[in-house]
Order: sequence, then structure tokens, then C-alpha cells
Amino acid sequence: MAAKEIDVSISKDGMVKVHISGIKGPGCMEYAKLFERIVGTTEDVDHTWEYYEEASEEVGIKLEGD
Amino acid sequence: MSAVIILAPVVITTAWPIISAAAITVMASLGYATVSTAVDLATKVDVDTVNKVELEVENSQEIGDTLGREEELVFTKDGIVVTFKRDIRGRLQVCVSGDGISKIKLRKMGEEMANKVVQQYVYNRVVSELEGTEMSIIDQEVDEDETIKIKLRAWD
Repeated sequence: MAAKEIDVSISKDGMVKVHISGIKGPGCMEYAKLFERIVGTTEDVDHTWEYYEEASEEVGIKLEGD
Repeated sequence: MSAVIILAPVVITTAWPIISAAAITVMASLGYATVSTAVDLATKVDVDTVNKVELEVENSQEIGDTLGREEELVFTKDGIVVTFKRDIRGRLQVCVSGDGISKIKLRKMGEEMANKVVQQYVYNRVVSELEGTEMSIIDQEVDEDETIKIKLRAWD
């Protein structure tokens, strides 16, 4: 089982930073949508290497099945 | 890590009970007493206070139908009266009044209290909305700069 960790920081003016880790590929955007629904509007999104890493693996699996 | 997301809060004034809970928590922590009726207010403070400021909380909005109903919460401490209210347009307002206190100071107090209530509102929303999901709170703390930090974990 893989653990997904999410760190939520709520600053004293109510701005929220959500740091999602352990989720490869665009699956983490499901969590991003959940937090947007809970908190408000997304101001900025910064994807990291893990996001792109899994995305390329998924393409490889599709090619193998063809 | 996979992503870092920055979100600006939107206070849904239709959810008045969540705002009330946040305001009561914050104001109690600042030593303010809840004023339940106009009679209480008249006995505890001078309602004809000289200085008064009204602030509108940014990013507050009404979603859904409340039939244009106004809501109000009043707190007091040492002659200072703080009112949180949803106006008829659905915006959240903070009104601070106090005799012998400058409008600049009242405005600063109002902004700080409004920010704290928004922070507590967001915290309450996050905790209540994540209940029953695959995510569990494994740690939480308040930093020296008053940032609330929550660590969540979910398993596949």
C-alpha cells in the first residue's frame, strides 16, 4: 500500500497551501479539486517531477497493450 | 511530491452556522463575551459610542437562497462592540465600535478579527469536509506565525 500525504497550511489571513505528496501522475488533481471545493479558488498550482513521472509511465503501458 | 496548490478562501455566508461557530471560537479566545440580546448590549456597553468602523470581508458571498435574510452576532469586551453580520446582499461584514478608540485602531482590530475568523472558518470547513473520507488527520499544530498546519494521510 502506498501512503499519500497531504500537508495543509492555513495562514492567519485564511490563505491555504496544500502540499500533496506520494501521488504520481495527474491523480493528485482529484485532491486539488476536493480542496478547491472546500476552501475556495485556486490561485496557483505547481506540479513537481512526480506528477510528470507517472504520466510518462501511463503512456508506456498503453503502448504495450496495443 | 506531486503538487503544491495555493488557494484563496471563499466564505460562503449561506453557511451561517459554520461562520457563527468560527466567530464564537475566535472571539472567546480573545476574551470577548457573546451578547445575546439588545438588552444585554444596552446594559454592558454604551451603544452611543463615538467611533465606529465597518469592514466588508473580501471573498465572502452567498451561494444558494436565504431569502435575503440578515444574520448577526455581537461580542463585547471593555466597552468595545464587535458585530459580524451577513448583509442583505449576502456579504460578511465586521463592525467595530468603541468609545475613545481611534478609527484607525478600530479598523486594524476589525481586520485582524476578520482574518482570524476566516482562518478558523477554513479550518472548520477542512476538518468537517474530510470526515468520513479516506484521509485521516495524523498531526496538527499552530506555528509561531499563527499558521495552522494539518498533516493528512490516505492509503490506497
